[in-house]
Amino acid sequence: MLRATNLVKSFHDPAGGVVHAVAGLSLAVEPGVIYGLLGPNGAGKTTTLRILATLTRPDAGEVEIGGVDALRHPVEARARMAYVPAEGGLPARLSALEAVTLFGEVQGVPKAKERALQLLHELGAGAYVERECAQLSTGMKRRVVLARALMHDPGLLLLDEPTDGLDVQGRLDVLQLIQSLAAERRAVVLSSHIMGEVERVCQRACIIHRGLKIAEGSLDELRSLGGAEALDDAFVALLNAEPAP
Amino acid sequence: MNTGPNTGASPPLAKAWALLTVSVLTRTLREGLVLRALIWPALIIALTLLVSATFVAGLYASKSAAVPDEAFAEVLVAKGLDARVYADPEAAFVAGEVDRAAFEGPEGWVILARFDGAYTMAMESELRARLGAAWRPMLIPRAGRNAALGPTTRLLVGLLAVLFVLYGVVFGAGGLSRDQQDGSLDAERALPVPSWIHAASRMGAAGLALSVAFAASVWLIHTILGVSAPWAWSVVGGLSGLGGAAMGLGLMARAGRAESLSGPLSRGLVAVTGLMALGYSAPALGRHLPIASVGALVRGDLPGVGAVFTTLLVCGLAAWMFDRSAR
Repeated sequence: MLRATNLVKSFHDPAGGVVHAVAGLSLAVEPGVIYGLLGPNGAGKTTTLRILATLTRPDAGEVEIGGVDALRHPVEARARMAYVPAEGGLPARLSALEAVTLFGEVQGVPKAKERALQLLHELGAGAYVERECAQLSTGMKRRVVLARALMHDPGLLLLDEPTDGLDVQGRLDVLQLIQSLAAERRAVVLSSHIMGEVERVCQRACIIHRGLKIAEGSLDELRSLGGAEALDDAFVALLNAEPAP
Repeated sequence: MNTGPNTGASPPLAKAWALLTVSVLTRTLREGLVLRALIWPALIIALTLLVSATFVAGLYASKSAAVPDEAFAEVLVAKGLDARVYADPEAAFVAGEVDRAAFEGPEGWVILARFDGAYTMAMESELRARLGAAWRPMLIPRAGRNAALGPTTRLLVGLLAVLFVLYGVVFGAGGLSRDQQDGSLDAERALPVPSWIHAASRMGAAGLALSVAFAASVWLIHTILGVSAPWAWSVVGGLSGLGGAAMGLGLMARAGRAESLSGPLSRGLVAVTGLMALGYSAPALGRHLPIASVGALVRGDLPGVGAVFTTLLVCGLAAWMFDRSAR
């Protein structure tokens, strides 16, 4: 479903230097798999997701989504996936129903309003459809954002820190939702720096550090590479094994 | 979980643009501050004009005049004055019984008046005619209020247009900055439509809101005072508001997330102010340029068709800058 090869992206910093946000990253995600993009803050997770979502153009590399070259045909690629930014990205002054319906209508989904209502109810936001997004709780916003992402039934979901800011119950609910999405043969890529939730939902993961992929595999393989029983410890061991810049 | 249709097909661009424009417009108008900003200037101007007009009308409403003989009174009554015969018109005036008085004093005829204006002038004219004077003032009805009030209303509507152009910059830059901060821009950009559509929808929404609000303001003032070329003003104001929004959006997109709103906003405000000043000082050139045409119209130069094309050019440039900002 998703194949990214040798992605490179650099930015100029205000001091005139160059920051290598992504430095030769490759990954592949098959349908039905939840793939974790792990790394400390500033590792390049969000930049990688933005490249995959066709929001940022890489300096080099290739991205293929559902068989479409995403760099040459970004519009076609976007029709096959949904991107959920870390901030959520709900317009404050639209109601939950309006925000979700809009995305369906723009994407040509038939009976968009009915489908939006159905999704919002199924995701547990049915009681809040008429409420302005600005007035929703963080957990409810996450549900609305996921409903919006699912409007056109994408095969690939790119989720940037989807549980950020949620309480324990909200986090468990969202993780459960993500598992149910993967069970429908969708590919899911989620970025996170919380090992517990990665262990709960991901089948595969890669660890990024300073834009480089330093480890990739199943969770067991990552634990083995880090020489630790807990993913937290393996993660820290793998990061510490990297030479200082 | 149900799954819906995944056609993988791009939606029609015009439909996507219209949907996104309506969405941005809805969001904009639901901001109470924005709505008030669009409506209040015209309402305040209209209210001020009406209060002034009421005050002035009250001030000049008095038609009373005291004269020493019946024949003179009849002539003045025929001119619309409330003229009456008094034995001592001067005493009646001093006592506050009338607001005008005409009488023959020790050194000749005298007119006393508390107000100038048409009735006092009519009184003077008739007195001079009565005395066989070599000249008399003539009241010539105005050819039309537009011509008479042209410079005043041009300045008034021009100031309003300047305000709406500045609004345009704020809407363009501020709206984009807000959407960048809350992530809604990224979410929209991930939709299967070309990136420039999002710039076009934002400019369309800002242009529509500013055009309608400005045109309504112009016609409201036109109803009260009379505005020379209200259609030209409506078009120039709408185009210039759109141009301001395009400049604000383009500059904000170029700055990206690395810069806060204040930088692009101040650059945009300086640029549009400079353009309006250019239009005022060189109206022959300014009438063909977006935003500068406001300055040209204040000087009385109607906009050229070129202003439409150059505004669209600026919008295209802003959309290109927006598109480039994703790279």
